[in-house]
Amino acid sequence: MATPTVEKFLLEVSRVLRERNGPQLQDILVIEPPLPPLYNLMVNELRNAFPSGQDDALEDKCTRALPEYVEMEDGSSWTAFIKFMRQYFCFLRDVNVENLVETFQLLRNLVKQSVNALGHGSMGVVLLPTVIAFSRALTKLTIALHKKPQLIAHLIRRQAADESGSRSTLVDTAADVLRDAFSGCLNDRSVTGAGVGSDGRPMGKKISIYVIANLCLKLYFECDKIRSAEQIFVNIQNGSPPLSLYPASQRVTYLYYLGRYYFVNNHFYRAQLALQSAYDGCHSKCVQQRSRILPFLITACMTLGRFPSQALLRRPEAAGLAEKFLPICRAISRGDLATFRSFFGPEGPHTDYFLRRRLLLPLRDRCEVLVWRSMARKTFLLAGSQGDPGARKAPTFDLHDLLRLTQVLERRSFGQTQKKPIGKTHTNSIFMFQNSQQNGIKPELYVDPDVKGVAEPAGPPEPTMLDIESMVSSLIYQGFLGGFISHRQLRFAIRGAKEKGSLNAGFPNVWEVIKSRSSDAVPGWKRDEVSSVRNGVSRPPGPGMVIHLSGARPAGTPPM
Amino acid sequence: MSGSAEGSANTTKAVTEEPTASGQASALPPKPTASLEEDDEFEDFPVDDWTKEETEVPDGETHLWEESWDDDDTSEDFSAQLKGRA
Repeated sequence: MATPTVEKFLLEVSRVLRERNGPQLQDILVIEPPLPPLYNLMVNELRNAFPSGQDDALEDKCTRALPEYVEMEDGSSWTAFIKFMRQYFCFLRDVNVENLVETFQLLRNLVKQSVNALGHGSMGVVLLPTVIAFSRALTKLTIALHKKPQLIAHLIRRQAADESGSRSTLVDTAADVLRDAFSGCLNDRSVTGAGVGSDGRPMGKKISIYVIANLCLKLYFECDKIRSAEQIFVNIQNGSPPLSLYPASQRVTYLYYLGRYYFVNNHFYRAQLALQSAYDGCHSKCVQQRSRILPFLITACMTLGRFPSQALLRRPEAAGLAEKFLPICRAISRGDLATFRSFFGPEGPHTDYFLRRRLLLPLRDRCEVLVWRSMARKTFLLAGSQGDPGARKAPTFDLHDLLRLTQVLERRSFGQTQKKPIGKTHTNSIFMFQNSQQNGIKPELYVDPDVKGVAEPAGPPEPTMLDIESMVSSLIYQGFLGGFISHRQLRFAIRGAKEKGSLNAGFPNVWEVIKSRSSDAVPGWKRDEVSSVRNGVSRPPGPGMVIHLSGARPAGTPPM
Repeated sequence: MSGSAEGSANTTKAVTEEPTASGQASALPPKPTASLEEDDEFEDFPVDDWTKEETEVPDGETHLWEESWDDDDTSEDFSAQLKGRA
């Protein structure tokens, strides 16, 4: 059966390959509907001449049309491309976008075959734009299916029933293919050295490392597989050219995911560095992306003692954030533990928002330390002793005062989370006695013999001096309080007040403390490296190279 | 073959997400902020590259973070418990 359109199409593919025109190859390998009329003609020819089951004959046709790739001039062969063309035709012939699960399988097979063909040393790079476009489509489709579990419910059920079968999910299978594409770009053997050309641009397939990495990361983050992202960051750290050589959109997207990864792993200083760079590098008009970065950046910064300014919160991308974050900042500054806790309980005004964005635990648990620091500071302001520098008597405050303040706030905090005062009835009474009470009959309380006479607690135990000493010791250890505890006198004494003043010495700036003890290195963020000079010849850094920084001076200082 | 041209026309949407000249960045329309919270996904950028100048926000404000936020006010109701004990 004649297939003139298919033959014409293969001729066009052959011409584009000869010209090594990757973008044009991507242009003609259309997969997303609606297909242009010419492609519909081709689909009809394929269905008539090569129906399902005739795939080998289809591959023979591709081989006859592209004989130069069976054995190439350099002795290699690129039969993977011929298999890819077969897969492409099968995709066009069989795809039915009404059935998203089948479409997913076909697309995944197509991307897998394209990644195989990408591996060719000299020709693979021509296929790169196509691999990126197809990978993008696969990412989009996988995320859409992940967010509509009803469409893949039967797959999950089948998987559960098949105990001996593979346990990998639909997302896993897509991620495997994308990760292969990423590795294909990262480990491009056709380029030498660090993979950077004389023009300073990444060479060969390395030019697309971050495009593909970002697709992998998007899939991991949208499909709740954030842990898998670690391998991408490790591989980039080990084998990628510096991030700064890549376009802004790729840099910002990558740093956004890197920052979120560190955020999830409670490494807020690194998260803050990556997210701040992503935010600063965003185009000023890309409000959507800026607004995605900001809640994580603000939360990471708050845990480090850096609060958003009014100017930041007035920006369009910060719409709605001031009302959520500013009251928390105020409660931290004031040392108001009760109000602070009220923001994170089930009745907190923005609890749903914080939970959905996974900001609640970092804010609640990490920022409470700062509230305690403020409570200690306020105790000193209200009831501390200024000491006597002349008599070598340090400024102090009584830990009993901090205990008293804590008890007041804890009591208040507990009261705020209860709708009614707690009585000494059993909790089950709310279910058990309603009908009897309605009938005017006094209910007989059942009390289990094992707990007879035991008073129910009226709330959590009140803080004791042991709790206060523990908390103050912890704050001292973290550098947020400058001084020591006199266990005998139960007082906190400020050290260094004579030089810095009692407040500055006793309650150092939190952000400065954290910054001074943190490193600006962020694994996974490949920065510009200093090229080393060996035998008078500068060469780019590479694997196994050791760079000694022992003699490094701060920037701007003159040579010794 | 004409399939090439038709293919290009059909993939306009995909092409707009592909690398384009940085010069187009300034033509970006600002997006409305009303729907910012509806979807958490980090969208693809409509352009590939832009300059440092194009990242600068028109408000010109550079003071984005408060690092000194200690509160010296001692008039809160809860602090009445400790007042006058010094």
